[in-house]
Amino acid sequence: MGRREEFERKVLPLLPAAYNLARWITRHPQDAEDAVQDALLRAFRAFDGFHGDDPKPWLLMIVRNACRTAFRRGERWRNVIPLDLAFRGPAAASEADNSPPPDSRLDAPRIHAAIERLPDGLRETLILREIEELSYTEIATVTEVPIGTVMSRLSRARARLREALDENAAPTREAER
Amino acid sequence: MTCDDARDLLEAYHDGELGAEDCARVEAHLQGCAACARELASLRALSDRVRGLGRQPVPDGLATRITSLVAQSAPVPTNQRPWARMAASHLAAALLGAGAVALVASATLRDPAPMNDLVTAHVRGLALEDFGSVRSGNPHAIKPWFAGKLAFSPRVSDLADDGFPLLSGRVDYVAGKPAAALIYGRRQHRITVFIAPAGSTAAAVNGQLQGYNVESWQADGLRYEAVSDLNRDELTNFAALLRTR
Ligand SMILES: [Zn+2]
Repeated sequence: MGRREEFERKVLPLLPAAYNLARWITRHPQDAEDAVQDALLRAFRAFDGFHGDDPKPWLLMIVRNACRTAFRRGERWRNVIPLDLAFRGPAAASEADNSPPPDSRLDAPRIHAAIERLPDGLRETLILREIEELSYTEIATVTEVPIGTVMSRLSRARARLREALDENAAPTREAER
Repeated sequence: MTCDDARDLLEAYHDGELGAEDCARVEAHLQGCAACARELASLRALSDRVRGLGRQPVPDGLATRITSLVAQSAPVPTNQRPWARMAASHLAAALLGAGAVALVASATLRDPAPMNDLVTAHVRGLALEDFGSVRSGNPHAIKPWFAGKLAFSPRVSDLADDGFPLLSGRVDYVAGKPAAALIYGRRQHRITVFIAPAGSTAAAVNGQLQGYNVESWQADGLRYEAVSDLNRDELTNFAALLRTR
């Protein structure tokens, strides 16, 4: 099997995970798309240097770094409406800016918004654990911090999230007491 | 187990990160403690709500675009410096663990694959070296640099006279534990020696993993693990030299 076939078989199926992480890091659909495209090409060029069994943490580390680059670069054009959105009119543009989360239950938008308000380090750690289901060790690899930091970030992310969700609507909990 | 002890382990338990022994201890506590059981239930409920979001969907056309870009782009062929490519690709901005030594509840975490971790840390470190984000240069400056960053004092020896010059040092995390990492050169090859208190890492790992050789030993209460793409004979020779220092 050629390297390209191997890449297509092992790495390309991780695109949904890659995009989801990029989307949460950048909080911007166009930045996320650019970062993921950039990351996948970088990953392909670097694929010969990858020797592990599971490419997911490796790819997500590349995605995370690409997002940071995209973010720095993005400052210049963040206020420019992408061409395809401009053609579709302002309604389409504003819809894209506040893309709804995929889950339409009433609870989901509130959780989505609460996670978006978490600081960068807490947000990415939470997403890697809860959505991507990475282990602490894998999260440490992706975010390039020690495991102790992963544990404390995760703990703080959950505490903040609980606080945020409780203060909006916790009548049932108060009623219990 | 007290409630405080249980609370310290509860999230790791919830995340499936506890070893069998700690798991059993936490479960025993949960059986008899309604408050901690409620806390766990609340953690689970929160995780369920976050997981319920699912992933944000990939925009139409992105997959096709990437596939065609990949098809047009040739991978860089294997050469003698894989880390150069790694560095260029994704580690440019990374500075791993410079000084940030955290307390890790090591006994409570499951064992990762040590050899894999060593090789990963080695390759990652070489990428950092290429970007000059680690302490380099004067070997005499490296040892004091570790002071205050590690709970132990690694022995730092230069082997330049034997053809293995000491190039740089950094603090790294291998299998989640802080270690001193020293990089030595040999022609175009690099050797990373990870040093950590003995017993804080898994049992001896000698062998070969995807082109990298690993040689480990213990001395003076410290564990040494040398990783390199250098051939086995020269790495063994290097280890023997370092052991006599
Ligand atoms: Zn308790």
